[in-house]
Amino acid sequence: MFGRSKRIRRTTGRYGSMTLAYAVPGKKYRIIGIAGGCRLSGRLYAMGVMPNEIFTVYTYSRGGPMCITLKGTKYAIGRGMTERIFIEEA
Amino acid sequence: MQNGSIVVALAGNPNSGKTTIFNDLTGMRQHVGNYPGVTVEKRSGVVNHNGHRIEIIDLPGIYSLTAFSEEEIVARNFILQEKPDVIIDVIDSSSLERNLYLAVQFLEIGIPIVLDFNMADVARGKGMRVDIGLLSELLGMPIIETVGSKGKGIEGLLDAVIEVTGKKNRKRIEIPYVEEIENAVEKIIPLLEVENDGMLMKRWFAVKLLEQDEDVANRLREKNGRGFEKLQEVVSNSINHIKDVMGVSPDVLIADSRYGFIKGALHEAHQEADSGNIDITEKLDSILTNRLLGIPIFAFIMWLMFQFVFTLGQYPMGWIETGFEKLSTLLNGIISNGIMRSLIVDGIIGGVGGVLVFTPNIALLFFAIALLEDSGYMARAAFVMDRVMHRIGLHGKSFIPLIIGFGCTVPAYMSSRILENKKDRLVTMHINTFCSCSARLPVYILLAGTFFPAIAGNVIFSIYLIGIFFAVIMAKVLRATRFRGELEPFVMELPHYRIPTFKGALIHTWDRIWMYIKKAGTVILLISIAMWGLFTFPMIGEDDYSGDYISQKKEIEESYQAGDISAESYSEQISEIEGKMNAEKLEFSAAGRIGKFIEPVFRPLGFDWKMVVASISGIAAKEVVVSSFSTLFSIGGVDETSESLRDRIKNSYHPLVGYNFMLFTLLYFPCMASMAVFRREAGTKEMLFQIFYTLGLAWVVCMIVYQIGKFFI
Ligand SMILES: Nc1nc2c(ncn2[C@@H]2O[C@H](COP(=O)(O)OP(=O)(O)OP(=O)(O)O)[C@@H](O)[C@H]2O)c(=O)[nH]1
Ligand SMILES: [Mg+2]
Repeated sequence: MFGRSKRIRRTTGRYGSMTLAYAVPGKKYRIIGIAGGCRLSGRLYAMGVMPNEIFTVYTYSRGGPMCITLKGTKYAIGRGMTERIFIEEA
Repeated sequence: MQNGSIVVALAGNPNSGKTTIFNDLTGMRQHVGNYPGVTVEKRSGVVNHNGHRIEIIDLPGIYSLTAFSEEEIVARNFILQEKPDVIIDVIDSSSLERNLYLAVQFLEIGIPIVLDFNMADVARGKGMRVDIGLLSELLGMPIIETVGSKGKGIEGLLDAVIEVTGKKNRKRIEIPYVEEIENAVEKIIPLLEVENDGMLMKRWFAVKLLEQDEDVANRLREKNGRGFEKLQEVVSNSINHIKDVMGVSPDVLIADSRYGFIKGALHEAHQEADSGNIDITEKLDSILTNRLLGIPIFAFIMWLMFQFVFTLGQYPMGWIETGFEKLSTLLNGIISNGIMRSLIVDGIIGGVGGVLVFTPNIALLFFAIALLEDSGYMARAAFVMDRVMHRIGLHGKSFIPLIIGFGCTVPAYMSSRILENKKDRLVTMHINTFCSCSARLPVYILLAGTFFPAIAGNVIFSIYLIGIFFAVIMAKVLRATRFRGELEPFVMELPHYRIPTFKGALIHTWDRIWMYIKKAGTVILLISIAMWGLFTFPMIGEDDYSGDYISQKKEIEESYQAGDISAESYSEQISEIEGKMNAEKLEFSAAGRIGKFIEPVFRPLGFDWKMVVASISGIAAKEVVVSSFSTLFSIGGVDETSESLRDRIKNSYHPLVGYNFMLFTLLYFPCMASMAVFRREAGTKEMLFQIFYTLGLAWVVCMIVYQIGKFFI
């Protein structure tokens, strides 16, 4: 029971939506926000990972790192980072 | 423009081909590889073009002018502080929008830019079309298309550089920001006390402050002096105001505007590829980075690599070995002076030849690593290992320096600059020594081949695995003790797979081999001679032997003459005595005395004084362990017997001790050169820590192995 409530808290962060950690291959998602301060988000923007961009997941492991394709560029997103990117289905 | 030459910086996103272009321009051969973060230091070269002297500086890749990791700081500081005359922004044409983000920032600092649309072949292959003329007009920067890997378009690049430097009143395009940002910028500019020298413009500083760039803030703190507090207040008020009105922080708005500007330009001049074509990279990745298969595939690739190095390397190694043996025999016949003969045959050929024998293995190892680097798999290994690395408090990116460490630890220490977090970086450097470098490979090949000839390849692989095991353990220990802290989350671009160019890999391998040979001919030659001296002098006198071997020999001689003993038993007895004499001769030498003195410390490990001396000499460079061994057993060998080096070693030690010695060589710090780099990168304190903890660990581990192993032999 506690495990469940914990999980809900984790999936729905401050943007009231799910994090990248819960994305699955085969669906399209839109980025809606990045948590973790200006430094980190600035970094991601410069790399092209921006709010409103659409992406797909192609390698996935729950709780582990992920590979995503965004505008033809592939990114490896480490564990920990996946929980800071908020997304919604597009 | 210093003394008439034009200073040109090559900048751009990681892995866009900067170093490739640099090599094309200057004819140099800097290291190129297919993953982000290959170059971690600036390098310069010169090219003359149409009477102009152009100095080119290759920089590490950056995504923006806000630096995160050590190597990005190198690039950023060069651009902002040393202010090159022109920046060639090398762009991966197949991913224009993201690559242009950096170009737009260069535009804002006001240094003349030439856009190099590199990888034009890839973009074309994907079906992208660009109206270069129009886009160049819209962005206000000249654009040159190149294919760096084929050397195409390089001349045009140089022409463009000369053209932009000659142009005075350049048309300068300003990025329009949303109204709130523009208002804030207007408020900030009058408070800035930086000289508006047309390069780093006030506008750029203002925007950077709104982006909350710490480095720019610090810089202004110095320049603005007392006025800084006022400035800081205005900036933070503006930021809060913008957050209130727009609901997002200014950095998002600024990034949005920049991308908006880029998208606007691209919309008119660029045609995206028709998507839907199969993506080979994605297909390969679905296997290679698969959740279940990823790690086994990685382990298999590593295993294959070491088998390849050992099995294939054995044949040429055998030929070179035979060559040196023949040479020794020949010289033994020619040189009559005993000491000269020993110096050349035992000292130089034994020492240097003993190291050169392993050239083929080293070549194969570097070739294999070059293939890993060039194919794009390197970044995948980092990804695959992320989960494992996470358990030990590091992330996947740490794995790149670790793999490079299998080649040479010096570039591996440099490569750890790509880690953004200082603690991550130090832990990675501290465990890198356990990723056994190529200089230790000769030790393993010699000893594994000697003691375990049938399964040498697997024995060597086991040493590598034990190394990785200790890397993991020590990372965990260091993370829990000296380097506690949050784990920095990581994002890394995964390059597209590329078929490695055979030529590129060969060139890289050749460069490394040449370094190895040069090292053998210089450092190792000198150390070999020095070691030979230590092994030979002071020479033992007749009275210094523990027994009266001379008369013993005479007695045997006489009884043989008299027919009391057979020829067989005669030569047996003689060589037994000579063996004893040789052993005492060595122990009498300086090295022998030092070794004997320290031996007690290493006795719990099963090492004799020769191993101690070889290990100590290995501090200079790990290859020297082998050369010292060769010299030792060459001097110690009885001339008449044709026992090979391997047999002599085999007869001197139990295989357990042989294995233990390999372990010891694996675990203690790599070499003097690497420690110098360690010091430069991390400071004296960390270097000393590295030296002492690896020595301590090596001792403890080998002691335990020997003390337990003893019961089974
Ligand atoms: N197909 C193609 N490949 C290229 C081209 N230019 C470079 N490459 C390849 O792209 C990869 C990256 O090249 P580098 O020159 O190391 O890139 P870099 O920008 O110096 O990378 P970092 O130092 O990591 O920032 C290498 O595998 C090159 O062989 C090109 O025009 N076309
Ligand atoms: Mg480079």
